[in-house]
Formats: sequence, structure tokens, C-alpha cells
Amino acid sequence: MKPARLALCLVATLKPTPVFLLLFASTLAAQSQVAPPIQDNSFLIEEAYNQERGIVQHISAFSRQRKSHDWAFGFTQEWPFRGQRHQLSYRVALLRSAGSTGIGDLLLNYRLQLAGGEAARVWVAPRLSASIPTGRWERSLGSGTLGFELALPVSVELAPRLIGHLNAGLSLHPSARNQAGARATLVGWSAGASAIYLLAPAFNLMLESLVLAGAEVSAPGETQRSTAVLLSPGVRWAHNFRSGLQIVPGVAYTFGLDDAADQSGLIIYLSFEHAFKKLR
Amino acid sequence: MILELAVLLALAVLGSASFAVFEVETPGWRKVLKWGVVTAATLALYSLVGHWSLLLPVVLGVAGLCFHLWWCRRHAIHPLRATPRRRYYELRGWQWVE
Repeated sequence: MKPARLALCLVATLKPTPVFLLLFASTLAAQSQVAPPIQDNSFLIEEAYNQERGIVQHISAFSRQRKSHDWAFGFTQEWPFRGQRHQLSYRVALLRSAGSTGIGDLLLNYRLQLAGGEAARVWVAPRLSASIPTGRWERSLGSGTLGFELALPVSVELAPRLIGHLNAGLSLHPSARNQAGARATLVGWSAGASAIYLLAPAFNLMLESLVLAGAEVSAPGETQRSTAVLLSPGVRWAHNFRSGLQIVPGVAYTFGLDDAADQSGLIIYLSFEHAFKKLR
Repeated sequence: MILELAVLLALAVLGSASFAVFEVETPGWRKVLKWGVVTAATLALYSLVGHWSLLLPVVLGVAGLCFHLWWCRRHAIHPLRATPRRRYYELRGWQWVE
């Protein structure tokens, strides 16, 4: 898709229609005055807000590629550890890839809240992850080896209604396997940025962009590199309940640019966040 | 087994998200143990009766929900908000701290 045409598509997607506004009018009217802003609920980009003390978040995300019909469901659970400074989380994935369906690799994460806090404008939370090879490499569902990821998310309040997020990441899978069993070491990197516009505290417009540079094992000791550029406009909104439960649904459409056109597809997001112990 | 794990996960997330306010003083190990036992029992049953094992968490969930609604109604506690909070604490035998 040409850049100009893509820009038109993005504008059309982001422009709220009357029907669209009608659907969420009650949410906006009821919550715009009192609702806390939605945080830590992006789809492609990682936000740098660790979980607050005593609050757990359950995140489900489903994505489906338009052409191949491959899909992925990811479930992430984030727990604060002795307060907001430390966060532990895990992610399990269910994948449909190349005709096979099954569990993907398990991700175990630790995040340190290096900068940020109440009323802070800049938040930084580097993450270290271990990728456990629970996915079957014979069916292209996993890497077949223990891997590691290092990520650096940064969140910045650019204006009262505009939040920016920046991401950089590195991944390493020593001696990964392909479907035929050939082994090679995979190194990848990623970089991304997003802008979140708070149309209301409980209703946000999102534009996320991500560059993924990865590799796959092509032969013993050899890899084939590829780069994907993704652009994803979307929306998210929050339902805040008096019990303290916050539910954040969201939807986005990811456009894969140039060689990554095959990766275009829909993202559906659903998060539940609530206290798991009394906050004194 | 993926279906069983998915249903257990959905029940755990929806259950804990909806009723977390009722268990804020319950020790974490008891919550983990409860879900660990239900998960282990369901997966063990799966090896014997296949997908019929899903009846265990579903029946337990429905029975638990019925008991919850009956108990809340009997004690005049809101079934979703656990209010009035102080009375709920008294009924559970928990110490209320201002």
C-alpha cells in the first residue's frame, strides 16, 4: 500500500463516526469526570507502568492475520512484587501457525520500575524475560530452546491528553531449531513507538508502530533474516466498577507495510485489573 | 487438554476479577491451593473421561455461585461489591482496620 493511501486509511479509521460515538456515549458520559486514565493496556507496544501494590492484571489478546488466517492468543498475568518497583509476570500463548495449533513458548518476565511514580511525567521500566521452550518446534510453535529478551519501555506524558511510549528490545535464542530440527542461534531486535490520545480518561485513541527484525533457522548454523514494519491504529476504553474492578476492552487493526503485508490483521484485547489484597 | 486449560483459565480470570473483593484478606497460598487442586483434578479427570472432565470446574463454579448468591442474600451483603464492608468482615471473622 502506498504511504498516501495508507494515511487516508488511518485517518478514516481514527475518525469517530456518529454510530461509533453513540456506542460509547454512556461510557464517556458516566466516566469522563471521575475515571482514572487507562494505563498499561497497549496492544503492540509495552507501557512502562508497573502494577501498583496489591493490584493484579489479567490480559488477553487475540490477533488473526488476514491472509494466512494464522492466529495467536496470548494470556498475560502481571503481579507487583513487594510494591510497584518490582513486577513479575508470565505469558502463555496458544498459536495457530502453518496448519498446526498448540501452546507456544512460555515467557517469564521481571520488570524494574527504574523511573516514574505518582504524578511523574516520565516512566521507565526495563524488562528481562526468559522464554521457556514449551512450544513444539516440530510444528513451528516454538523455538525449541531457552531464550532471553531484554526490553526497555519508556512512557512520557507529552501533553495532558497525549501520552507517548517508546520501546526497544533485544532477543537471543541460542541454538534454536527449525521444523526440520536444524539448529542455529537467533538474534533479533525491535523498536517501536506509540501515541495515545485521551479523548476521555476512559476512552483512548491509539496509534502504535513497531519494527521487528527477526531471524529463522534456514539450515544448520545458518539463519535467514527478515524485517517487519507494523502500523496499528486502535481504540480502547475502560469500565470502572465500584468494587475496584477495571475492565479494558480494545480493538485495533494492524497494517503490515511492504514485505510484512501478510502480517496485517485484527487485534482484539481484553484486560481485567483488580485488587488481590486489601490496600491499607 | 488445551480446551480444559482454556476453560480453567477463563473461569479463574472471570471468577477472581468478579469476586476478588470478597477475598482480599484470604492468604495468597489458599487461593493458589484452591485453583491448583481444581486444575489438577480436572486434568487428572481428563486422562480418564476426556472432555467430560470440564463438568468438574463448571459444576463447581455454578454450585459456588449459587451458594454465594444465597449466602449474600441471607446476610444482606451486596453480591458483587461485598458491602456493607464492615459487616462482611465481621461475618468472615476478619479484623476490620480503619
